[in-house]
Amino acid sequence: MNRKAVIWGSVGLGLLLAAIVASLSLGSSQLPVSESWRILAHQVPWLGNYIAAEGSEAAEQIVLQVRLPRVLLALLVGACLSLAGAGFQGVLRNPLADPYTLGVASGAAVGASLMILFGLHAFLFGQWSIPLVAFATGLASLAIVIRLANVNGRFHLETLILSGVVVSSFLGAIVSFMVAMSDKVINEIVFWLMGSLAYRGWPFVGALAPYLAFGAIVLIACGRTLNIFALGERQAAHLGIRVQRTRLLVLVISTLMTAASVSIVGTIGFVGLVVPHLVRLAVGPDYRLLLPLAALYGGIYVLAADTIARTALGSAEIPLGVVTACLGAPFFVYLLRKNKKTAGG
Amino acid sequence: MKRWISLVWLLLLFVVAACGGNGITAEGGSANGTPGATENLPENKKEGKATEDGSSSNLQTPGIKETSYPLKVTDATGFEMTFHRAPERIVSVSPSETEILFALGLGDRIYGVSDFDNYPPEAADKPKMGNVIAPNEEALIAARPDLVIGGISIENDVADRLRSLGIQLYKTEAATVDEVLGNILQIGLITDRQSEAEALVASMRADIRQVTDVVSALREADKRKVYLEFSPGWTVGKGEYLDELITLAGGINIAGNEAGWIQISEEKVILDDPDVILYADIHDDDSGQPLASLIRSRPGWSQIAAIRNNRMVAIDDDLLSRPGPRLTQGLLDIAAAIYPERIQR
Repeated sequence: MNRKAVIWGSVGLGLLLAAIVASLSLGSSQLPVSESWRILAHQVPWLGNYIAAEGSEAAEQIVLQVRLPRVLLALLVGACLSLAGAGFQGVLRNPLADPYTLGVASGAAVGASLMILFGLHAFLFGQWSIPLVAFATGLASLAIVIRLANVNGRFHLETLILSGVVVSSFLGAIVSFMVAMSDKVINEIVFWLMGSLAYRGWPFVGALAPYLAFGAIVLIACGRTLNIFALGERQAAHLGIRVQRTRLLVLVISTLMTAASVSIVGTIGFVGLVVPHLVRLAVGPDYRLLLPLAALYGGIYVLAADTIARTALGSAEIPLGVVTACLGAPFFVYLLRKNKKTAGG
Repeated sequence: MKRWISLVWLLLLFVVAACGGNGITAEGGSANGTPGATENLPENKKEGKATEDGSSSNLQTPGIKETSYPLKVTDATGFEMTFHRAPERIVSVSPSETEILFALGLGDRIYGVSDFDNYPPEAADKPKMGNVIAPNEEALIAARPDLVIGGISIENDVADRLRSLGIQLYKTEAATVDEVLGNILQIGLITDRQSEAEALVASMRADIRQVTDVVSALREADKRKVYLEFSPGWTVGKGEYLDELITLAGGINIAGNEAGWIQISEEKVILDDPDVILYADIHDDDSGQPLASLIRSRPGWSQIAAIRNNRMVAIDDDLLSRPGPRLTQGLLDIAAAIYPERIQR
């Protein structure tokens, strides 16, 4: 088990490094790779003294104000969504659960677009207000989905996803209605629904980081409990786990991370679904290992997808949600089929 | 997702249709104190006057105006900026502004345009900077512009972000014909092309007069009812230059009682029974049909006078959608379409 952790951990770190290097080197402006890296190296304390900053001001802006914050934001978003997905899957014991299939992301989207529609970007809580409202509406829609899926105190795999889809479609209709009602902010809402890391910059990196740090600590601390959950709730209760309380905690934290990421970069699908599964295939179902690795690989996944999104078509950007869906949807189909086979015997 | 994509295309179209101009009224135009007036315009005028009264040794030809820098201007976002010299590296991420720049003879100072810019043909060869809503940050910085002109689709948060990257963004927003003319003069002022701008505006005013002279002879009873469809299912009401063009051309816009861009009600168009239908020469994104056949095939529309009498006229989409130098060509086309017996093209 430990050997696996070491292998996949180092593979992950290697991939992470490669993805960061590639992403910082690539961009529509055709900046020479060496120049990008000289600019970066110059920023490193001590090392910077030995490297002349000969890059132009424009190149420096591109590397330090556009690419670097975007790379970090991609990593944070990927880690948030992936951890949230792992949390939902663990606590609901449902391999198809993720922020999107459960309607949490759509719920958060409704809250955030309401705030944008009415121009309440900084109402009451400043930069925290959109994430907080998104969190509240995300939590509410999760509660509705769980309530709908609860048949005599048990969730069936399909019922939960079905309820998620129903609630998501309804919430999607609400967002469509808001788009139809607004005229000037249409663009903002639509672009944001497709998900994008463009036009964010450092302030948003700083805004998302605390949510990830807090969420990651709480979830990873729950790793052992989630392992016991995998045995079944009754067994977990027998082993002295306060089932309801833990479940609530994990659901709330996962929703919080989803809402924070949705309210900053929009809805980006399939990350929370695909990544924890890939990690599970690699290292097995131990949540103490799975959670940190899911955060790592989630970051890599979104960073790679965003690099494709912003470089594949030159200066035109592909919405990030489109790229993650293109990579993730086939995997979702694979999971569904695999599940059917095991269920069907 | 597909619906979102087609919606986004519709919006892009709509936005391209709406992009352009700013809230600046022409020097001699019927000013109504829109935001974005030039602060040192009087100063400039004074200087022009001083030249006339002043020493005969001044080599300036009378009538050629020079902009005196530093020049302080306020754009449509209310942002005040100072130009210390005439901009030399200009990026325009709005098709109509690109047309204005070329019309003022600034083609060789343009270092980037939006992905939609195609007129004049030289514009298509300029480096592409992405879409008109959120142009590619990296490409913008790499072009090292000293002026970026954005159209109506640049939202405030995008403007703020661009400015935080050190980009001198001038946002325009012209809704009425006067504002379009004022915008041309303003761009002429900023770029030290005042004489060219005034000549252009004069020729546009001559086009307008040519039309109004002819249609002023019309009796109220002879005026024709006009329905304009610039994008599948969309028409335009009062407050927008397209409604103004119809009115200037002596037509009665059947949607003229409503304001802004309007999604049509098929029933209302049948009820209003327009004499002439003007439509953009485009294809519908969903069905791939030309807009003309889409309009003809709508149930119940075959009884509309315009369709019965075959009075449907296609108008160049770019002329309809761009509040730039070709605006009055659009006016002439519209007038010729409504009253072919009075105005020929």
